[in-house]
Amino acid sequence: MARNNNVHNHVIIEDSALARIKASRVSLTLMALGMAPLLWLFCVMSWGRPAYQFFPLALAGAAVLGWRALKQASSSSAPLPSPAVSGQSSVVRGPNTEVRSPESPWPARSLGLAAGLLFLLANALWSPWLGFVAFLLGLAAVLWSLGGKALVQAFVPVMLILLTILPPPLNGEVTLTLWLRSVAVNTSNSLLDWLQVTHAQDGNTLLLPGKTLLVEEACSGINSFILCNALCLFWGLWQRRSPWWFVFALPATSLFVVLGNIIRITAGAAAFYFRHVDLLSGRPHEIFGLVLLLGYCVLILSFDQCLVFLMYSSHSEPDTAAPQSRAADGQPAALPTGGGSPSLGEAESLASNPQCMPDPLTPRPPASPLGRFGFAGAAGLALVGIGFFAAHLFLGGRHGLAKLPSLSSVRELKFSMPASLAGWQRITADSGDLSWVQTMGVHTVDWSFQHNGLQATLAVDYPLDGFHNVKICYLNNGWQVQSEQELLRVPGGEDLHAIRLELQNATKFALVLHSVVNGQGDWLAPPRSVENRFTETVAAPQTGYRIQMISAGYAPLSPAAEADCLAFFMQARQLLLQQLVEQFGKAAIK
Amino acid sequence: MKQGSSVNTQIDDWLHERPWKLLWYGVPALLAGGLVLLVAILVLSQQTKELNARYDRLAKFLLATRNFEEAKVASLHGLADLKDDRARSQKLYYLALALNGLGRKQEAIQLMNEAAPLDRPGCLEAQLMIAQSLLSSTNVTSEALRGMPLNATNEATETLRNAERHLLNALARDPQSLVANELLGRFYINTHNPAKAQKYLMQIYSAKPETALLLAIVCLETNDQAGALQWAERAVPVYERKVVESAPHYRVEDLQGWQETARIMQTLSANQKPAPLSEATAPSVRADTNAPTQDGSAFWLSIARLLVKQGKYEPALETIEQQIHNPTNPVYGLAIGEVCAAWAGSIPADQQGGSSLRLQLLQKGLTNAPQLLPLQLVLAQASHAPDETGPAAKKLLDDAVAAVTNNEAAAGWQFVLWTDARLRGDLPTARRHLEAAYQLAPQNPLIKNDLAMDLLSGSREDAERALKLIQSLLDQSPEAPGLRDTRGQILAKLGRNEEAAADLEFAAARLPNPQKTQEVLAKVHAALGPTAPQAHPAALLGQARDLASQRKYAEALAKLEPEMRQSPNAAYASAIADICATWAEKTPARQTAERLGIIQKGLGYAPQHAGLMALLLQATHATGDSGPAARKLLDQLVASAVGEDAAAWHLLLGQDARTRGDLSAARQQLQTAYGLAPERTDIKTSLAGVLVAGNRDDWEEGLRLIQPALDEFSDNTEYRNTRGLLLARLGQNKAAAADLEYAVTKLPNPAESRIELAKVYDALGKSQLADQQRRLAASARKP
Repeated sequence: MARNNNVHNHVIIEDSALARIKASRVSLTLMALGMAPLLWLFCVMSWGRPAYQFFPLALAGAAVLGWRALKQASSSSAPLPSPAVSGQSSVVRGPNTEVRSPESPWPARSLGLAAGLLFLLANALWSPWLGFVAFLLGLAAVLWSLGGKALVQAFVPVMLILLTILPPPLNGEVTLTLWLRSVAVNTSNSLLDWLQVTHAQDGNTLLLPGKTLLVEEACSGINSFILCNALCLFWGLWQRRSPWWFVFALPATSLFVVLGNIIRITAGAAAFYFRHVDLLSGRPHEIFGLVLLLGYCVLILSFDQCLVFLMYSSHSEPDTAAPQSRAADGQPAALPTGGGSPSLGEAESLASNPQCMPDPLTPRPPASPLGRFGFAGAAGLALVGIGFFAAHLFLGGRHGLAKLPSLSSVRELKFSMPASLAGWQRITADSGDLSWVQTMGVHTVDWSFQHNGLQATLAVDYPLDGFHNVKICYLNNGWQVQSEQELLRVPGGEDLHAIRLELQNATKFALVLHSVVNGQGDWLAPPRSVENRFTETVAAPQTGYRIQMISAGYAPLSPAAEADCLAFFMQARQLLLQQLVEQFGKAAIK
Repeated sequence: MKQGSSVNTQIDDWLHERPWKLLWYGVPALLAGGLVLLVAILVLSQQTKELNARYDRLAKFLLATRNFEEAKVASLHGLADLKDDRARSQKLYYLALALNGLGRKQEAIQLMNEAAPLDRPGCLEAQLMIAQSLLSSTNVTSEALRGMPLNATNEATETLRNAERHLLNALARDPQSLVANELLGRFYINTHNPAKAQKYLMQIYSAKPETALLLAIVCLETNDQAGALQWAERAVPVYERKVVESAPHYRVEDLQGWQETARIMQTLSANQKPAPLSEATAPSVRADTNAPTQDGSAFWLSIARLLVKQGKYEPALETIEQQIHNPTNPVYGLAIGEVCAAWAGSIPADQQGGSSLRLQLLQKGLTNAPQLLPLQLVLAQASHAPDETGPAAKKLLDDAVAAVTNNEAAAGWQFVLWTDARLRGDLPTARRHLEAAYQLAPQNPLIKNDLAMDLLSGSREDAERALKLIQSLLDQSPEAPGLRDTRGQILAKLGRNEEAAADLEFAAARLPNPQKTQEVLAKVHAALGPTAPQAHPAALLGQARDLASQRKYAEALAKLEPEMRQSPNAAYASAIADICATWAEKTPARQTAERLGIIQKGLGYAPQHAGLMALLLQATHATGDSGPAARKLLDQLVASAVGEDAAAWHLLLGQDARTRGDLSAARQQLQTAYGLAPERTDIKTSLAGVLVAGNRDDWEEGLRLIQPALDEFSDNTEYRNTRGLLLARLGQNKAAAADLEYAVTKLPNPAESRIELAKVYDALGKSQLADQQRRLAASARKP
C-alpha cells in the first residue's frame, strides 16, 4: 500500500528527538532547575582553577557536537527507536522488513536511579564534583529515555568533551602538574647545559646570574596540556576519526605541549642569560604563551594530516565536510576503510542511519517519552536540588558561591605574639619578609623568633580551601621533601594535629611544622587513604586557617634544636588558636 | 618469491594510494617530532661527571675574575643531586667564596663551615682557609704556648685545636697537599712539637725545597745546630733562586725566607748559639702570614748584590730605585754604583750598542757613587774604546778626576789608572800612577799592597822597601791572607825561605785562587831542601800504593796520614780513601767492627768517596751491633753533608731503597737528591726510574727528567729502558716499543722489560710478538 511521502515525512519529524524533547520539556526543565545550583557551583569551582578555565569552550564544543547529533537524529529518514516507556511496548519495524525488538526501559531507569542517588549524595555533601558526575549520568539516562541506546551512542562525543572539564579524583591533577613541571624543568636544565648557559636547577627553580626563574604551576604546562588535549579530542570527534586516531593523536598532543613548555623555559632562560631579555614575565610571557598555544593548534591539525595520510587512502580520504550533507540527504555516512573500525563520530551516524532505524509506521510516541516515572524523578531532582540550595543559603549561609571572586569577602583577623615564648625571643613582627615561609592564603601574618642561634619564622595564613598541605607550596618553590610525618604525643600516641616536614634544597635544610584549623577550632587533617582523598575530592569545602613554623639553615637541625622548635610551635599554635576562636566567638577550644 | 612479490605489491599499492598532498600539511608535526627526538638524544647523552667538572672549572674561573654572581650560580649547579661528599664540599666552598664576594658574609661563613667540617674531611681549600683564619685569629705567642698546659681549655687553645683538626682533615683529604703539610709543620713548630713538625715538613721537602728553612728551625728547636746549619744551607740557594726569579716583583715570603735563612746561617757559621727567631720575622715565618719585615736599605743592597751576582742587572737597579729610593742615603748611591759598575763591566766589547749603554751606566754610577773603585776602573777601561764612546768616556774620566778635591779621592783615581795601565801592559805609566797614588795616600792599604807587589819585580832594595810597606799593613791585619801572600813572596825573594814558607802555606790554604802562591811555595820548599816538608808527593803516593798492593794497608796509611795532617792535600786524601776502601773490601765480612772503622777513617778524609759510601751503606744492612753503628755513622754523614755532597748521599740511599724494593723511600730520597742537585743526570735518571711506579703525572714528570739524559746519551740502555717503561705507561705504545725493543736486547736481566714490551705489543695488536716476549721473560726467570 502506497504511502503519502509528505505524511510520512511529517510523522518522522514529529517522532524525531527534538519532538521528544519538546514533549518532555517540563520534566527536563525540572531536572535542569534541580541541578542548576550544583552545576553553577561546579562552574564557579572550574573558573577558580586555571587549568579548567577553558570550560566554557568545552561546553560550547559539547553543545555544537550535541546539536549536530540531535540534528542528524532528527533529520534521519526514520524515527528514533522508541524504548518502552511507562510500560508501552513499541514494535520497531524497518522499512525493508527488518524487525528489531523493543529496547528495554531498565537501562534508562537504572541510569536515572543512579543519577538520582548520586545527586542526592552530592547535595548532602554539597559537592559540585559529584553533582557534575550525577549530571552526566542523568544526561545519559535522559538520552536513553528519549532515543534509546542509539541516541546515547550519538551523544558519546558530547559526554567525552564534558568529561574533559571534570578534574580527576585522588588529586590526579596535582600529581600530573608536578610530573609535567618536573619533566619541563629537568629537560630545560639539560638543554641549558647544552647551550652553555650558566645556571643551576634547584627543584622547580632555575637560577640564572641575576635572576631566579621559578617554574610555577602555570609554567608546568598543565593548562595547555588539558586545553590542547580537549581541543584535539574535539577535533577528532568533529572529524569523526577512528579510535586509532585518538590513540596516536592524544599522546602526540601531550608531547607537543611538553616540548613547547620546555622550549618556553629554555628560550626564556637563554634569552635572559645572553641578551638580558625577560621573556618569562609580563606581556612577553603572555604573548609567548599565546604563540605557543597557536603553535599547538597548528601541530594538532598537522599531526591529524599525518595520521590521515597514514590511515586513509586517497580514494577513501574522509570528507570532513560531508557528514552533515550526507545526513541531510538521508544517506549513510561513509565508513572509513583505513581505520578498520568505526569512528567515535560514527556513533552519531549510526544513530541517524535509516537502515538501523525502526519502521516509520510505529505507533506515535507518548506525549512525554519520559513518562510518569521520568516526571516524578525530575520533580524529585528539582525538589532535592533547590531544597538543599535553599537550606545552605538560608540556614547555614554556606552556599559555596562565595568562591566567586566577586563574591569573596574574607574577614581579616588579628593575631599577636608575645615578645618571648618558650624561651624564644621575637625579633620581628609582621615584617612581611617571608624569606622562607610559603603561604597560600589571602592574608598572612608572620613573626620571626630566635633562640640559641636558631631563627624561625612563624606564620598564619588564611583562608584556605579546607586542609591544604603546605608541602605543595614548598615543592613549588624548589624545596625537596625529605620526610613528612604526622606528630603524635609521646607517650600515648595522641594525635597532635601537626605535621612535620623535613625539607632540603641545594644548600639548605629546613624544618616545617604546620597545622590547619577551621573557624570552629577543629583541626583539619590530611586525607590518609584513598577513601579519604576521594572524600576530600567530593566533600564540601570549608575554610582553613594554617599555622606554620619554619627554621632553615645550612645544616640539618640537631635533635635538641628540633625539640626546641616543636615546643615553641606547640605553644605558639595554642596561643594563635585561642585568638582565632575568640574572634569567631567560640568558647570551646578543642 | 611469490610472497615477496605480494608484499612488494602491497607496499606499492599502499604507497600509491597515499594522499601525498596531505603530507605537506603534516610537515610541522614531523618537524616537531624530530625536535622531540633531538631533545631526547641531547638529554640522554649528557655526561654528568664531565658536566660537573666543567662547572667546577667555570666556578673557579668566575671567582678568579670576580664575577661572583655567575660564580654563585655555577657553584650551585648540580649541587642538589650531588651525593659525593667530596664534590659537594668543594661546591659549597666555591659557593661560600661567591657569597662572600657578593657581601653575604654571614651565609658565606656558614657555608664555609659546612664545606670544612671539624669531624670529617671536607673541602681541602676550605679546611686550609679556616685553619689559616683560626691561626691568624689567635694572638697567643709561641712562648705563651710553651708554658700552656696540654689540657688547657681556654679559648686560644680551643682555637688552636680546631685549627689542628682542620689541618689534619685537609691532610686526610689529600696526604700530598703541600699547603696542609707545611701549615701543620708550622703549627707544630709553634706549638713546640718538633718531631711532628719534622714529620710533616719532610713529606714535602722534595716537592718544596724551601721547606728546608722550616726544617732548620725545627732543628734549632731541638738544639741540633749541625742539622740546622745543614738545612739552612739547603734553603739558601732555593730562596736565592726564588728571589732572583721574581725580581723586581718580589714575593714577601721569599724575601722573608731568604733573610731568615741568611740569619740562621750567619749565627750558626759563627758557631754561636742561635738566637730565637727575630721578633719581627718569627711570626711571619712560622705562620706564613704576609707581614713585610724588610725595611732596611742594607737588606735591599744585599738583594741587589745577589741579583748582580746572577747577572740580573736591570732588576737589581729597579730594586734599588724602588726599595731604597733615597738619594741622600749613602747606601743608595753605593748600591747604584755597584750595579752600574758590574753591569757596565759585563757588557761585551762587541755588543751592538753596548758602548753607549756602558757609558750611560758609568754616568749614572758616577753620579751616585763617584768614589767607587770598580766603577772608576770600568770607566778607565771604557776610555780606551775604539768607537765614539771612547773619547766620551775619556772626557768623563778627565772631568771626574778634575772634580776631585781631596787627596784620598785623587789617590783613588791614580790607583785606578795604575790598575788600568798595568792591565794594558803599560808598566811605566802604571808605575807613575801608582807612585802618585802612594804619594797622595800613603796609608791606603790597597795602594801599599800593590806598591809592595810591584816592588817585587825590582832590586833587593825594592824588596826590602816592599817588606816594610807590607809589614806596616800586617801589623794592623796579621791574618789577612792576601797580605800574608805578598809578604811570603817578598820573603822568598829575599831568600828568607822558612819565613816565606809559613806565610805562603797560610795564604795557599785560604786564598780562593792560590795557584801562583803554590808555585812560589814549591820553589821555597825546593830551596829549603831535605828539611822541607815532603817535596815530592807523587813519590810518596807511589810508595803508599806499592804497600797497599802488598796488602800492607796499615803501613801505607802510616806513610800518608802524617803528611796529610801536616799539609792537607786532595791527592793524599783521595789516596787514603782508596786504600781504606780496598782494605775494607779485603777485610773478612765477619770483622764488621774493623771494617766499619776503616770505612769511617777513609770517609774522614774523603767524605764523597763513592766506594766507601757504598761500603758504608752495605754495612748498615749488617746484622748485629755493627749495622746500627753503621747506620748512625751514615746518618751523621748525611746530616753533615750539604749541597751536592748531600745529594750524592740521597742518591745512594734512593738507589739502595729501590734495590730493596722500597719504592716509597726510594722516591723520597731521590726527590730530596733532585731538590739538592737538580742538574745531575744520574739523579734525574734514577728518579725517572722510580717514577715509573707512580701515577700519570709522575710518568710525565719522569719523561721530562729522562729526556735530557737521552739527548746526551741516546744509546744508554738503562735510560732507553726507563723511557720505554714511562712511554708504555702513558700509552705511547709505538715509541715505547722502540725503546723497550732496544733495551731488552742489551739489558743483563730484561725479564720485567720483556713483560712490559709484551703488554705494549698487546696494545699494538701484535699478539704473536707479545707471546714471544712473555715466553722469553718466563725463560729468563727460570733459575
